[in-house]
Amino acid sequence: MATEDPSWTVKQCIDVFREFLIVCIHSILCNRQLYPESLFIKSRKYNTVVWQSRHPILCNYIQDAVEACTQELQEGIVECIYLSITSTDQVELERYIFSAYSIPRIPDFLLEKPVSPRVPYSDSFVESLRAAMIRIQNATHSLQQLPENCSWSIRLTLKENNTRPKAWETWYLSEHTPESNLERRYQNLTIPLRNISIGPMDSEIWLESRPDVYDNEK
Amino acid sequence: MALQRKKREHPTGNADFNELEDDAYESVGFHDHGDYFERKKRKLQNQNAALYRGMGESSVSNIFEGLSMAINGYTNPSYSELRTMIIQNGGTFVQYVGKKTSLSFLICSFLTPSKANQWKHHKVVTPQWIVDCIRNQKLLPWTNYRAVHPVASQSLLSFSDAFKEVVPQISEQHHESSEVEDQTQDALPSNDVGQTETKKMNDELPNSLKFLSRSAWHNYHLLNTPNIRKSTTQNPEFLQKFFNSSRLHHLSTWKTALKEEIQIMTTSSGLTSVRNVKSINTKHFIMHVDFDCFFAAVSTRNASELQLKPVAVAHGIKNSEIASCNYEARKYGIKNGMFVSTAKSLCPSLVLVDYDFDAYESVSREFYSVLVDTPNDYLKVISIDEALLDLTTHVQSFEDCANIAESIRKRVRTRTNCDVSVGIGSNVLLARLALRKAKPHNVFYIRDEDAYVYLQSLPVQDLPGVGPSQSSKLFDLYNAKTVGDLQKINKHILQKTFGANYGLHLYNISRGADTNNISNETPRRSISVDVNWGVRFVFLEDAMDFLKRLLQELLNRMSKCDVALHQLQLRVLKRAENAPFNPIKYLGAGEVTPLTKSAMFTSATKSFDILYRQIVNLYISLDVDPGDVRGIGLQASKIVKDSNNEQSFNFNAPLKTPQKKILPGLSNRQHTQGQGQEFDEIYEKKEPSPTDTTFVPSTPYNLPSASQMSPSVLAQLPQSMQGSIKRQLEVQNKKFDEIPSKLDPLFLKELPTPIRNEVKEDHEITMNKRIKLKTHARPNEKVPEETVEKIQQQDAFQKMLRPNKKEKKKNLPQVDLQVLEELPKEIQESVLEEIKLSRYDLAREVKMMPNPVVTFQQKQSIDDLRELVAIWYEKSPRGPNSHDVEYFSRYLGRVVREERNLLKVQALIRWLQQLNRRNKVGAWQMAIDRTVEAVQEACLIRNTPPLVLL
Repeated sequence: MATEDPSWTVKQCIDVFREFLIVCIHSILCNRQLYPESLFIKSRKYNTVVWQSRHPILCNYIQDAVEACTQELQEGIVECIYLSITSTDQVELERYIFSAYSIPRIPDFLLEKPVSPRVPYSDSFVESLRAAMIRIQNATHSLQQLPENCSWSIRLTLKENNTRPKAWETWYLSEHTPESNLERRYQNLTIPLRNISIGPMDSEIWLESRPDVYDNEK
Repeated sequence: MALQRKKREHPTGNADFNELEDDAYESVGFHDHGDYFERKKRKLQNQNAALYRGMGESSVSNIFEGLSMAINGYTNPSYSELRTMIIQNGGTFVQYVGKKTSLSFLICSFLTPSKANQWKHHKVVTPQWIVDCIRNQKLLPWTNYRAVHPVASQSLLSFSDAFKEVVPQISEQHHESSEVEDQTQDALPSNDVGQTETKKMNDELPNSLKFLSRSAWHNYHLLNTPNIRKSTTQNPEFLQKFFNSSRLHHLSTWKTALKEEIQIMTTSSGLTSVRNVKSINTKHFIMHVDFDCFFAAVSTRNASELQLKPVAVAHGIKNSEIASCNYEARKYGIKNGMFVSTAKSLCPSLVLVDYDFDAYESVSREFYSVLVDTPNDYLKVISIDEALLDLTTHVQSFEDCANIAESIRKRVRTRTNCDVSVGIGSNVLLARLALRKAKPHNVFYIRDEDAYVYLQSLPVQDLPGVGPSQSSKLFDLYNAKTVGDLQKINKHILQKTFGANYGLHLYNISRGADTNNISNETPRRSISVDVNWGVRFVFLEDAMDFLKRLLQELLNRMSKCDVALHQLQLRVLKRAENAPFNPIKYLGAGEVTPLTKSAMFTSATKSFDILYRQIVNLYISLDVDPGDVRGIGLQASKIVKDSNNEQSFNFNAPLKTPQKKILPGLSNRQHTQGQGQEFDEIYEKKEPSPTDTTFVPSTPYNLPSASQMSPSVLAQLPQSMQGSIKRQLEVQNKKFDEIPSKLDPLFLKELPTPIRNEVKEDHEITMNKRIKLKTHARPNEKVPEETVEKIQQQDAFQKMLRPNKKEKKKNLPQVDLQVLEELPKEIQESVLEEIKLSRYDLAREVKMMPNPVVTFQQKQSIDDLRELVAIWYEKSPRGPNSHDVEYFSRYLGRVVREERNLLKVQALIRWLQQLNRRNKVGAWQMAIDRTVEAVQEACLIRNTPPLVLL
């Protein structure tokens, strides 16, 4: 796709971003030990070591979840995509946020049109993905161990004035009410990861964790 | 291993050492060379160390400490002096360079080109650097003492002064050649212009030169010498000069001219009998007459003293090919096509003579007049010095032939003072083989009964049409060396390996049978102009300019033959990848890769503009660097007699109808394709009526009807195209009416079924079209055609004025308001929005919304910012100005909110904390707290939890 047109298009950006999301989710799930370690194998991506699930159901689940996100991304209404890790009593412990607000809201047929001002296609984005990947892995390692039986989900936040995803029938409403959002603001801590740039697209990646819960568990 | 460890312990020569402890001095034993050499190196280091210690207090300095150096080649001061200098000043002297990277400097005055290439990425300095360093007692920047200057490669060209450095060198070359130049200047005033051009180029071009490739750059330098420039394609008169001195060109033009002349001479002399149509069984007598070493013989014909010496004809002195050499020279092993320098080394006494094209022509004329005077059935011009004569009806036996041959030889001898040889046989092949035997200066004939035996002893490559590749194939596959071996090979096997035609040809010629009839003249199929000498371009414009001249030349030649072309081929010889910029032959092509590209024209053309535009396209699509072009050729193929002048071809048309004069001739018929041909077929399948055969469209496309054509556009087209479009229209309009509405059933019956069906189908389609056409009101047939055309044009013009409204509306989605109202509100909105989007975003471009990068005092990268913060911290040791803190905090807040780069903020605050860690200035700590506060505030505004900052 990229070789034909030397300029970046929104579609290309989203494709790269989607792939990066999948790789990140795999690695985070492995590093946070949400599944037994033996379910994962070492693999190479973006010129660094990543972890990849071997379980077909898990793989498909991630694939489908991100695919659903991608559809919303193409609408240009998504502000952030995040992976949230919740404890058994539905308390969010960690949240890995990948922002997507630089994707514009454009009609379908413009997705393949080169972004203006034109950004010539190059492989340089891989470097930033690699750096971000390494940083994510380091950050996940340095966090405290999660309590038993945590679960995870992939969630979206939408840009202002957008109340629901386009394919809203297929999405579940987040259990976080605005109140818990406020709670999050005072109880969580933000650990900056690394911003990535995929051609013309920028994405900010950070991690929010809730240190007090770990302490309580201990 | 032990050895290696020690080596690491004594990295420099001046380290302390104890001879007895060093295992380098142990008895060597039987080891490999590597071990021996390692020990040698160590011993040398020890010697150097001893030298250093020997200096004791007098050891002057340690300015070279930690630097290892080696010396290469001649130096001044000498090797040993330099060595002492290096060691005395604490440097490590390396005798044998193992790895280049382990060496700090290489000292030398001059490096051989290959070494310079090897060392181009290393530090190579002149001995003067050592001397100056010691004098100043400090290390001087080595770059001022470079021994190897970076090659004038592309990267260097970007510096404007680098260019200035190069120019003086060129101007020196100018001076060398200027003397020669002065002499020629009077003779050629145009040279002046060329010179000023070069000067102008020198002044103006440095900017554009930066983009030149290396080969173009090389050409630029080359062409800076006016003499060279004059003899390349850059000279506007180049083509004329080139063709004037090209022997190949002369040969080919002479041949065509001679053919025509002979035609006239034979008919006027009346000597040749009318060519009888003879039965194949009659025995032929073919005579092949050829000059002996034509060029050399003609050049020496009036200088008898030269005739006994080895003589060769060539252009230049060294690297040009020998066109012809006499038999005297051949004794030394000199051959035609050899380089002069090679020939000279074979025979130092070789006399070189220049071409004398006028003499060749006059001698050749004499020669042919002798031949024409000889009674013959047919005279065929092979080339300027070679001809075939058919004597069949004039002689009875080979003996008669030989007598005639002798008389020809004698007469040519007396009239031109040159010798010819004659070969006689019953066909062209045998005559030719006999000629080979006859040379030099003799007559030879091969009887048919001897032919088979005679052939057997010949090597296969002596057969005409058997080249080195075929002969090697024959030898590899069948072990066939002589024609005798070839005769034994089965015909079918030959045809299998060499293809049906060539295999049969081989089979025949190996038996001395030649089916080629002497009078078989193949019509000319193509005309071309090729230049492969002196082609040197710098810029694309040069190439374009030359192509223009070349095309003009081609068109001149075409107009001489009165033809137009259907296909044009561009040939470009590109310098082979690894070929040197300067080939052995002066301004020659050298080793090249040929590239070709051709274009088809739907109608035969000879318009300069059309062809030139196409050539430019072809040339650009080849994508060759102008500096790499070594030869260019243009070939006109699929040529047809220019129809405009050839009315005689229109034999079916009543010539006096003015309309038909401009019609293309029938010769075009075979070139029409596509839909045009469809009609053709239909016509041909029906009984031709006298009117319909002439309507052969020259453009194969079906044009839109006249009413759809813009007259203004039509008027702007070249005259020839206008004509053809109009004609095409007429044809289209008429066709449907002229097609008979019923097919001849008898005719159909004769056709094979699939074709019959096709014809029927075609007919139905055309009939349908015709019916449709009939529904339109057609203007009265009696109205003169010009006025009809005018009416149609006006119609078309008015249509043009009315813009097509329907099409414009198509882009807007049609929204039915009533439907819209019935929709739920949300969908209504989204529909409206979509309309808006499609209305405006069609024109608008896709824009990403990247995070804006906020700058702080024009700095934005994290490293720059850190530096800035460090300076800030250092300049105010007692604590920062509160305004500055506010300013900085505000900046960080903006980074969080607008640039959205949390990592950057974290890094900057950590950096401040780091700076303050050592001195723990209270005021600074407060400042840091203030910034942290600002950052966390910004995070809250952004709806992110507070940042981890410790």
